[in-house]
Amino acid sequence: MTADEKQAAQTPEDGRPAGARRAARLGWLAAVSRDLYVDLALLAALAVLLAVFGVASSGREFLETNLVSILDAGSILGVVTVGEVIVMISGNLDISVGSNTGLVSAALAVVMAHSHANLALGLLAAVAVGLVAGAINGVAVAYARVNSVIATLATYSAYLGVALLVTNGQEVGIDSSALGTLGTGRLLSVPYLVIVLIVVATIVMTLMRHSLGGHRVYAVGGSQQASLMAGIKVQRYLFVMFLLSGLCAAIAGVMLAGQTGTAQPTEGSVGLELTAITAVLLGGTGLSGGTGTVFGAILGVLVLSTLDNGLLLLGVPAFWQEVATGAVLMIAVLLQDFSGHRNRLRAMRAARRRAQRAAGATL
Amino acid sequence: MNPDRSPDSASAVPRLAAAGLAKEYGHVVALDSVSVEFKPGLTGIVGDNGAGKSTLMRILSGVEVADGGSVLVDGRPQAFASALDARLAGIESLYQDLALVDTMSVADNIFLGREITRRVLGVRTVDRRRMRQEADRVLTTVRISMPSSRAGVRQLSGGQRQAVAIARALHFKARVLLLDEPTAALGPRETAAFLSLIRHVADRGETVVMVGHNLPQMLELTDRLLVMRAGRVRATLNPKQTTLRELAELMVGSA
Repeated sequence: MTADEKQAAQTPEDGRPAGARRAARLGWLAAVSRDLYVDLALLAALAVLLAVFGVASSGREFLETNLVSILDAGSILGVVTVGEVIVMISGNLDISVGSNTGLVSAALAVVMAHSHANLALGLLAAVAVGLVAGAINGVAVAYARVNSVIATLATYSAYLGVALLVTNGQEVGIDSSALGTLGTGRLLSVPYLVIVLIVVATIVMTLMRHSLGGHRVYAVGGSQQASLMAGIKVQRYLFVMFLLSGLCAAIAGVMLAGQTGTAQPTEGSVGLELTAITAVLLGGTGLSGGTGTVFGAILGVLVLSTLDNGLLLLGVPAFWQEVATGAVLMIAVLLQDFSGHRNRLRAMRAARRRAQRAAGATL
Repeated sequence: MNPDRSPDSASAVPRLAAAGLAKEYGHVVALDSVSVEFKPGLTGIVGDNGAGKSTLMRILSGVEVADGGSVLVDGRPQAFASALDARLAGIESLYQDLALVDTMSVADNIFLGREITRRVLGVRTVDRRRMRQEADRVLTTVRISMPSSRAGVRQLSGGQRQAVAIARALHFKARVLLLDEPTAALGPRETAAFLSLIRHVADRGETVVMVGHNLPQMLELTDRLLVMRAGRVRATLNPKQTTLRELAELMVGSA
């Protein structure tokens, strides 16, 4: 038996040429380092953008004042994006995060206005509203099996409507110095908002990378069928991702309320979802699920905020900023596709060969 | 009733057995009271199209529910509502593509749903290094060359994908391995390697059930051959004492 085993081990079992085998052997390198490749490309893009804007706006001032404001401006978007990326890794989309953020800030303001500016009560309401909104999405997608684009498009509209209803479409001021400090204050010249983003992103990133739950989110996003067959409770994972996205929206809503000092059912929250999705896609997460990283998405946020901030600084009209954002997304996705394209072609050819053989075998 | 001519018919409780399985699709009788015991080693199932082979396999693997009769694992009747139920009972089926996560590595797929974990600060974390080590160990037993346990399953050939599924079944000590035309989509060299792997697994004393169309191959490879026709098991043969001609006649029903 052992001699037999040895012999079998020596024969090249798969009928592919040596080149293909070598490519497959190197394949894991490409697969493992793809995330790294995206991250490095984004870091390079970030460096180039900073350099260009730095030089164009003559140096020091840009770096001193704008690096911080880039981070500051990106922090709320960043927290929303953290929620978005985990939903997208699980194979879904959450379009309602922007209006959920606005709804949370509205709930916070209204509850505080009716409770003699009780911050604890306001925060409780904010978190509860964000979680309930996330849970509604989760139930619709995970248990009622509604397509996530449709489900969250519906709740996007509904949450926005509720936010406008509870504020009567009016600005509601928030009387809280603590919240104001969170929104605009700094700790050793680092804005509190940036600290919140770093904490949220680090926790979620670590869990997604190392925890059993995070590992299974990647499995569910990669193939629901295979995950079900392996006994993974797919619905529960999908539900929890939407719940966490709701929690992120709740945190972002509190940050937004702190930054502006008022409830923001539309200003600063509507449209956040599309920018977040853009950042996630920039960061190398696909629409089909099972791939991507939180870190990449955060880099995507930084690229987008740098672009906005830099163009603003150079006096480029705001309309062109939108064009630039679109162009960057298009270029990034094309570049990422280039690396994935060859693999996909190879997989397609292999599938075609398999199908032909299967057809041949039954004839 | 059961015309069992194989030499090892007297043995302990079989790991897998069917008792009076019946299945109809509308007015078409797919299975007509099939009773059979699957003993350790490789049992082949042959039959013409529509003989009921695939229906039997789908019921055994929990994908379909029988209209009557029962599936027995270790002598105990089972009520499989899904393929997952069957897998939890130790019946591992090989599917071409369905049961693997393309975006994950070979090691991740082998341990899918049964990951090796350790607690770090009270959180269950995935021990990827141990999973890779264990995966490498199992993969050497399946004897199909694999780029690496870190390789993405997306990059594997059909034979390698099946080897991953078999490695998973072996590692978690599946009671029974079900294969429905496993080599249909493989090239000639991969087929040879895969069949030698199946033979190897059967020689270790595992219970393997395989549906196949290639009669000479089935005669050469299997320990027992069930011949199905019109929803029934017509004969259980010892392939060593059966000629191709006899087998073909049993299949079309002229014998």
